[in-house]
Amino acid sequence: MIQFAFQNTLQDFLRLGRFLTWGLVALGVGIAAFVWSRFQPGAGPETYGQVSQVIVLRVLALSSAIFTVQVISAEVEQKTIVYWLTRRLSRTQVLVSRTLASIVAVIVTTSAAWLVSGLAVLGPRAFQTGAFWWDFVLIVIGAFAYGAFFVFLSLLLNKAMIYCLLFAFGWETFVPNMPGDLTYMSIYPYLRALGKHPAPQQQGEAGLTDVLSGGLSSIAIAPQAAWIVLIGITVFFAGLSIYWFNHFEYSPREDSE
Amino acid sequence: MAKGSRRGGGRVIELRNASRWYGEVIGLNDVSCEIGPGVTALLGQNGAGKSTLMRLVTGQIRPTTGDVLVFGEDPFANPNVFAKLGLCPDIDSFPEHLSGRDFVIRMARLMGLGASEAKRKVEEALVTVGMAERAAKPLKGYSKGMRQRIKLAQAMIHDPEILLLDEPLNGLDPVGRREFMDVLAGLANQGKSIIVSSHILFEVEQMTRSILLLHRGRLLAAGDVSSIRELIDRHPHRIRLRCERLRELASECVKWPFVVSAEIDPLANELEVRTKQADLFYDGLAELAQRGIVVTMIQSPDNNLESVYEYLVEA
Repeated sequence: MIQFAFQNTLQDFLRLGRFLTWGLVALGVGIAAFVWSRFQPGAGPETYGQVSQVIVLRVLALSSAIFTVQVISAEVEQKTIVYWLTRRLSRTQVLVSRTLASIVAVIVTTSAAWLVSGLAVLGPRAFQTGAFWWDFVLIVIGAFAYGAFFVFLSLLLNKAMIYCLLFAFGWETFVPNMPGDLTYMSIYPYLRALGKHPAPQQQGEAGLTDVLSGGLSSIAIAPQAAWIVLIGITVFFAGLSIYWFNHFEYSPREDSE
Repeated sequence: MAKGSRRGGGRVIELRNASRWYGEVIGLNDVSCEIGPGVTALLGQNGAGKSTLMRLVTGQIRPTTGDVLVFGEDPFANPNVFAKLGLCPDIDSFPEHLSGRDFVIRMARLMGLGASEAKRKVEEALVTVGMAERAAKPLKGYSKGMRQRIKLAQAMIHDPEILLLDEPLNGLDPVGRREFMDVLAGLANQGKSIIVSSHILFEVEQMTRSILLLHRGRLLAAGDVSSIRELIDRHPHRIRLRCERLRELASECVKWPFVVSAEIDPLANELEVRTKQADLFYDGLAELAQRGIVVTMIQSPDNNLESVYEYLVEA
C-alpha cells in the first residue's frame, strides 16, 4: 500500500502538464546559463559553479517549496485530505510515502535544470567534469533537507506555500550574507559548502552574484560539518513532521472553523 | 425527548458525552448514543453537528471532551477502524484530472486491495451506483449527481462494515435518489451499519425509521422517525423545482391529492410546491421523469423542520 501511495503521488506530481512546466523552467535556466557564460569567456568551470550556486540551487529550493507543500497542505486546502486520512494507511505511511514522492519530483525537476545549465555552460565537457556530477549529490541531499523542513512548515502553518517561498527566496538569499553567525540559520550555505566548484576570481567589490550566492559572509563551513547539519535537518524535521501529523488534526479548514 | 439510544444487536459506534469545540464555536455538545447495525439517519439542519459527528466517527478529528469509540477503539488516526469503515464525505472535491474509474481504483488500492481485485470490485461498484458507462471521463466534467455516485462507489469498494454517508442525496435527481435508496436498502439487508446524514426529513423517512435528531450540536431526539413525522405533518412541506416544461409540470402536480399548492415564480423560472406528503410527491416526480418531464433542480427549504426543532427545544 505504501508503495502504491508513493507511485500514485509521484504520478500526480509529475503528470504531463506539470512536467512541461518544469521543462520550461529548465529551458529558462539553460538560456540564462548560456548568456552568463558569454559574459565570461574562457572561464567555463567557474561560470558553471556560479550558475549552479545562484540558479540551480534556487530552482532546488523553489521546486522543494512547491512540491512539498502539496504533500499535505494542498490536500487540506483542496479538502481531498479526507480521502487519504480515512484509508487503511497509517498517518506515518501517508506522510512518508507522499514526502518521498515529492522529494523524487524535486530531484527530477531540479536535475533537468542542472543538466541543461551544465550543457549550456560547459557543453559536452560537463560530463567529464567532476564538480558537475557532484552537484547531483547536492541536489539529492538538498531535496531531502529542504523537503523535510518545508513539509514540517506546511504541517504547522496555514497557507504554507507563501512561507516556504519566502524562505526559499528571501531567507535563503539574505540570511547567508548577514554578519555574525546568522548564516548558520540557513540551509543554502551548507549546500554551497559541499560544492566542489573552483572559486571565481574576485574582481573589485562584491556584486549581485556574490549576494545571490551568499558570498558576502566570511564564515567558511567545513564540508564535514555541512554533511552533519544537512542530514541532521532532514532527520530532525522528518521525525518532527511524523510526530506532528500523527497528533494533530488535518480536517478541511473552512468546515472546522 | 431521549438523550441517547441503544439500538440494534451489537454496538458498533458509541459516543459517551462527546463534545467538540472549534475555538469558541461548539460543533457537538455532550452527545451520548450508541449505533448498531441497520440504517441510522442523522437528521438536522446545516450547522446542527452532523458533519462533526461524522468526522469524529471517522477519526478525522478528536472530541474535545468525552469519548468516541468505533468497534471499541478510538478511531482517531486508526487504520484498524478505517479498514472496516467507508466514508462518503460531504465535500465535493476530487483529484479532478482523474477519471471516475481511476479515482475509485486509487481509493480501492489505498484500502489494501490488489490491482486485479481492485479493478474487479471497482467495476462491480460502478455498476451498483450506475456509473459503469460514464466512469471513463475526467471527474472535472461530472455533474453533482455523478460525483455523488462516485463518492458512494469509493466508500463501498472495500465492503466495509460501517458506511457513513454525509448528505449523500444532494444533487441527485429523483430517479437517482430512488436508485440510491435501493442500494442502501440492499446494503442494510446485508447487516451493514449505515449512517446517513440529511437535513430533509422525507429523505430520511424513505431510508430508515431510526433517527438521531441533532440541533445546534445537541442530540435532541433519538428513536423512531414517526414521532417526528407526526409533528411535521402539521405543516406543508415546501419544495422548489426547475424544469424545462415548467407549466406542464405545474399542471401535473396540482392533480395530485397530496399537493396543497403549486405556484410558478416567473422571475426565477421555478415552481414552488407545498405538499403534506413529500415522499409521495417525489415518487410522482420520478414517474413524471419517465414521461419526459424531467426536473433539473430540486430544493427543499424545509422551514418546517425548524419549527419541529423549536418545538422540541421548548419541550
